[in-house]
Amino acid sequence: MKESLVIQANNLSKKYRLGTIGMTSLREDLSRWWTRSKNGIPKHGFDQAGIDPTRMINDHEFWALHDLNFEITRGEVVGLIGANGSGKSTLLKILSRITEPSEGKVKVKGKVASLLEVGTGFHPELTGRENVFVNGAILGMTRREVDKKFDEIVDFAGVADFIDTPIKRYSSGMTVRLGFAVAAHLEPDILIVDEVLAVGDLRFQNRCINQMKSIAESGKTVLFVSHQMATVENLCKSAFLLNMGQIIYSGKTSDVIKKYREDMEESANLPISQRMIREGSGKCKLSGIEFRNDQNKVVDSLISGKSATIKLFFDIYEEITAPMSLSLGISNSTHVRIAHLCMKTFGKWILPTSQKSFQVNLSLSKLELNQGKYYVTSFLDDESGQIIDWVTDAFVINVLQSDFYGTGMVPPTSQSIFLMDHSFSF
Amino acid sequence: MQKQSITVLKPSAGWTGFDFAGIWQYRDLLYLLVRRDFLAQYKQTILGPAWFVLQPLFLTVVFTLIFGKFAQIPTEGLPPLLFYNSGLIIWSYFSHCFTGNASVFTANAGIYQKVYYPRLINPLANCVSGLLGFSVQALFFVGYFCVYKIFIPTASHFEMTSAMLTIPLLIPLVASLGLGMGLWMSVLTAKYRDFNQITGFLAQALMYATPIIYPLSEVPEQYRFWASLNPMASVVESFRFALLGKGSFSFHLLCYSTIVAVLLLLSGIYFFKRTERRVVDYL
Repeated sequence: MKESLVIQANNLSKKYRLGTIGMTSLREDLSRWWTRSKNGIPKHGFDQAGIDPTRMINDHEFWALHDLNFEITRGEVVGLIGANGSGKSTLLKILSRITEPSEGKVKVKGKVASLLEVGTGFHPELTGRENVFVNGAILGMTRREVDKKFDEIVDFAGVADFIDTPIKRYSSGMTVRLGFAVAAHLEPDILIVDEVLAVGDLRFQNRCINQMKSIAESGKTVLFVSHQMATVENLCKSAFLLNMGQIIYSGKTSDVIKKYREDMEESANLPISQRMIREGSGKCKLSGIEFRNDQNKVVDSLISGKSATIKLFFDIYEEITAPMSLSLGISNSTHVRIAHLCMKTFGKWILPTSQKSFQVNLSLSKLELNQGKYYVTSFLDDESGQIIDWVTDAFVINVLQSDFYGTGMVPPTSQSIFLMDHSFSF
Repeated sequence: MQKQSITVLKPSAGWTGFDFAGIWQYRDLLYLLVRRDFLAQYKQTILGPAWFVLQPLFLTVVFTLIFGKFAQIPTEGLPPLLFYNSGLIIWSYFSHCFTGNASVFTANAGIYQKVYYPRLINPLANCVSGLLGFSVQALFFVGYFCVYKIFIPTASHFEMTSAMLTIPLLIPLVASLGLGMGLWMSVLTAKYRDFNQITGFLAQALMYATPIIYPLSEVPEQYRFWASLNPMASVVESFRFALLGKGSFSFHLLCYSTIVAVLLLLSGIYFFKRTERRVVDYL
């Protein structure tokens, strides 16, 4: 291993099994063994939903990561970018020793601290002070190290007045701040961070990012995963793009993000039912969409300021037993989430049906989006929160400009995403 | 710049060792986990750590009433309270190591999926915190002992023996037996939830199979061999012999228990480490 390198991966692969082998009940395993010995054919009822056939090893195993080779030099701040299920989390888990690779190896030089969650091991009955020590030790600090940084940690979290209160009395914001504060004061050689920044209020998030920045600037090696492209761009000089378990592109962050967006766009052009990058149990899947204009005619594009209906078609593959809820996340062309439409907010549920398919109509009384392309992520889960079908950027809404305000003029398109009714007076 | 150690992460197979170095590196975590267990257990209780002593004492009283007074199981002429209490405190240490570790993987699943540290820290911390409770209870036993000696001289045909010297050896033996069985159980519960149900039952059944509510000498001759196969039997008997001078002290049986303990512990660690490597993938 060269002197300047801190991480070096060779032919790194990780395979996972489909379904829930392992955490089963003895009865299930015995009955499986029984049918197998009786029929002589191993039978796996696993759903391969959402996994690209090229990633399958056999009918019940797939490559979560396949044949990764990369090097990271000391002091580099690297972003990991990729769609859901591309293998980012698996890679982080291997690097932080939570799980072992199935093949190949990684050499890691120095002390690694991984921040895949804040406040790991917090005990609600213990005080903030006691939890800081336990959490610090779990993350690999010694008591002396925690002791030395204790005041800084408490100060950073802003919980000085509550430090001797059991954390079950903390607000969720305080708990998260305290958790991050401990982690932010680790002194590893390599820091691995997974999207934990998406917590706390905006002010705290900014402080977290600044802290990460100063860690990065102090010459530490940082590996950073986030869906927030702006944050990745802000923090990382270089990045890897992961797709279906492989690094398909690496280089300057801005180039990688560009490539990622192009890929996403390409994938958004595929028919929804054929989309491979999706998560969830797959009991039921989004199969198609249809846009209707204010005259209830099927159209390709919608017009700004007019009413519109979007029909979403779902196919049912397995019996649905619990009520389901659909939410749609709308992002602009630079993938910033701008709206979230959720059935639960209306107390509405899709009830179990014996039919093979169903449809959901989304009515917009006035389309308040400016001209442009908008990406819609479809998320279907059930009452218990189990994800059924989650397709990132499932479809694109193409919005055409119009005389939104009825003034005879078209509002400027480059100035805003949203349009809202308003008037001026003097 | 200081020389940084290189860790190679690769698929491992077979015996990967005990990882003393890793555990030593995380010794502070072990200490803090013991402390956390202790604190968390008695937060928001009125009597607090007094429960350490009250719990076995209540059980002793119940045993004295049911097995001593009603069932009239002989206690080798010893005061029932001392007889049951001596057996119970050593047993509860075993039971703590066994049942407390049986669900290590499922109980810590959330942490194991997010942070790496040598997983054996958890079972070890559990054994140490059990030892803490045992020490306090043993101290109180000495108290009961003195009370009997001083205030009830008629009942004082019992005394501590030179076998006391073996107690520092009996304790690691109990810990190894409990830990070994606990590790085995943790591996099974990680794979099959069913075993969670079995742990409690198994611990109880083992307790009745161990001479705690009865002396080994009361076991009918033809069953005594089978009763001695329980590795805890000779340990409890020896412990009682050391403290009260009644019971049996068999060097051979203790050797047998030690062999069982070592085998259980080594195989337990082996399977624990094997499970530890895979468990996060299916927890």
